[in-house]
Amino acid sequence: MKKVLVACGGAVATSTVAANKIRELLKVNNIKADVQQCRVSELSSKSDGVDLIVSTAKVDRDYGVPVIHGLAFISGIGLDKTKQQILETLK
Amino acid sequence: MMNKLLDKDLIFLNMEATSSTEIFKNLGTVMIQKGYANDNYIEGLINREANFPTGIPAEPVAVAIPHTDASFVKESKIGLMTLLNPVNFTIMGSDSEIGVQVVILLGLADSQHHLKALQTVISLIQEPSFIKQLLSISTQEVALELLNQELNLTIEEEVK
Repeated sequence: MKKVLVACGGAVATSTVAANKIRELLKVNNIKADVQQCRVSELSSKSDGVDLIVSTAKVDRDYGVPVIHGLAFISGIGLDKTKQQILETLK
Repeated sequence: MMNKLLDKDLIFLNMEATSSTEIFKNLGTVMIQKGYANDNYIEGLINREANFPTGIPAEPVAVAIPHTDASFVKESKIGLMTLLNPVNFTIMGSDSEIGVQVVILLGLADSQHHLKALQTVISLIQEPSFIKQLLSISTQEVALELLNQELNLTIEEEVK
């Protein structure tokens, strides 16, 4: 079981949309994962044992976990590339 | 039936603004005056945008989706402002700026309850024809009707 954190500024709007799209993506690709939302400010306390962080906000610190920028889930631009990156990271 | 997330007074069309702060004051004042948001809502929007920018590169013009923490909002609303000239916003998750001409205010008190509406708004941002249509509208009634139509396509699933 993989663990994915989807972060944004307040865990209200953009991470909600991105997290749902990521759950769908992983389901379609038969990747079992626990996808959770959080605020960027919560990353340090929640990144233990996490395989991937997808964030729509800027992540300045290194948590020892790969970080993928999730803007494409909101803008739709470059979405295929972002999806591919996520799948490759979780393989 | 008019979607509860919409209010004609939260629709501003073909406005001229010089900064995101000016835009937040316009939309935020209505949110506060109508009792939809707390008195510090405008500061909330300004601070949030400074820390977590919401500019989105979209076609044919860039869009911004300003919002605050849910705790600032008393009654969920979605607002709209179209701009005659681009106003600079920082792109979400970056340091680069982009000239925005469509602002969609996400005044949401609870994202889970309004997930469908949120998803609808985000998918509309990704439709160049919708953005183009928004820019061409000159009356609040027409804009309200268009937004209502789009949001109500999903309302059945949201009524509890």
